[in-house]
Amino acid sequence: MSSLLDLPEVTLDLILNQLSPKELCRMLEVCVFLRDKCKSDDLWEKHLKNKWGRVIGEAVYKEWHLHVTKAKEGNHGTNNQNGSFGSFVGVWPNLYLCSYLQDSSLVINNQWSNHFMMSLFFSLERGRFWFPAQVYKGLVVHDALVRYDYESNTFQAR
Amino acid sequence: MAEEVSSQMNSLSISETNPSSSATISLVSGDDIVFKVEPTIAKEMETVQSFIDETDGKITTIPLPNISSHDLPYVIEYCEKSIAGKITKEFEAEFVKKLNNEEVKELFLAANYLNIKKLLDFLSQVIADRIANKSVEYVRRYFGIENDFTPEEEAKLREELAWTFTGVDPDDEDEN
Repeated sequence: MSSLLDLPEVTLDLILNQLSPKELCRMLEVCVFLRDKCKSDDLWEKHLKNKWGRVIGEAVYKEWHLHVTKAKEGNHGTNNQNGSFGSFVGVWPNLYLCSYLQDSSLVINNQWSNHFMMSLFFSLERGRFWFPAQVYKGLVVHDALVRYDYESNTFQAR
Repeated sequence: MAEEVSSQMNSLSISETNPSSSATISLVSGDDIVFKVEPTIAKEMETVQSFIDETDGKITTIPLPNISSHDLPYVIEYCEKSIAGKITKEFEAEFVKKLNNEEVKELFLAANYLNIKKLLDFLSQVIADRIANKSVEYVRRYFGIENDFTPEEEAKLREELAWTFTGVDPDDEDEN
């Protein structure tokens, strides 16, 4: 029996590109090669755009980049006990919260910081990441931090 | 299945007697069966076409050692439909219904070898559909892959995946 892994990578990618996020996660468990392959940004960027593209913009990518960089430098999660981390602009008392990551062990312990798109996808999916967005309240638009709550399939803003 | 192949071969050899098709291309399968096809069909197969081009069309017999006489008629059938512009959802559904998992895989490898973009795209979707909602063990069997994780790696991976989805209950049944 021939193995599909003997295929050139571009051909194997044709199959992997057809898989849903859920299927990609299952493929991760198949073997070491696919574990590394199925985390790639190339595969996850599309899913991120499909699922989150309408609510996240450049600012969110930028914020995520910041969190990931901090995680790589190893100074993430030292801010408080539960390992949460916010990014701020301004000087106290006029601090402005840009984004907030709940329990950043997600990106630290699992080395997901090397997998930008996939880690962002699941941080959003599991509501760990409060990201900047504009929220409409009646006719008034204001900037807020928003997260997704997967249990109720709604967004929360603060 | 054997009957189907021979009827395919009959219909293909008819074109051989057609006087307008003096330039037919002979594709020789790995098990030495000759399939005569129109040059337009060969064009669909990039690997074959580039072989013809390289020899300025002087060589019209092309050995395809990696492809069996069982798989080649399917490839030819798909290419024929493709150049006739008759690839419909219905045709694809019928086409794939005839194929078991191993055949899908072999055709995918053949399409890769022959470099037939449309067939590759189509079969990659078929394979994706066939491994959807299946267990990791099933996917390993389908792909022909051994589990090469150490127990430590496996434990770590499970921890990582706890962050992804919950409540996934895959199916371990082999269908073919």
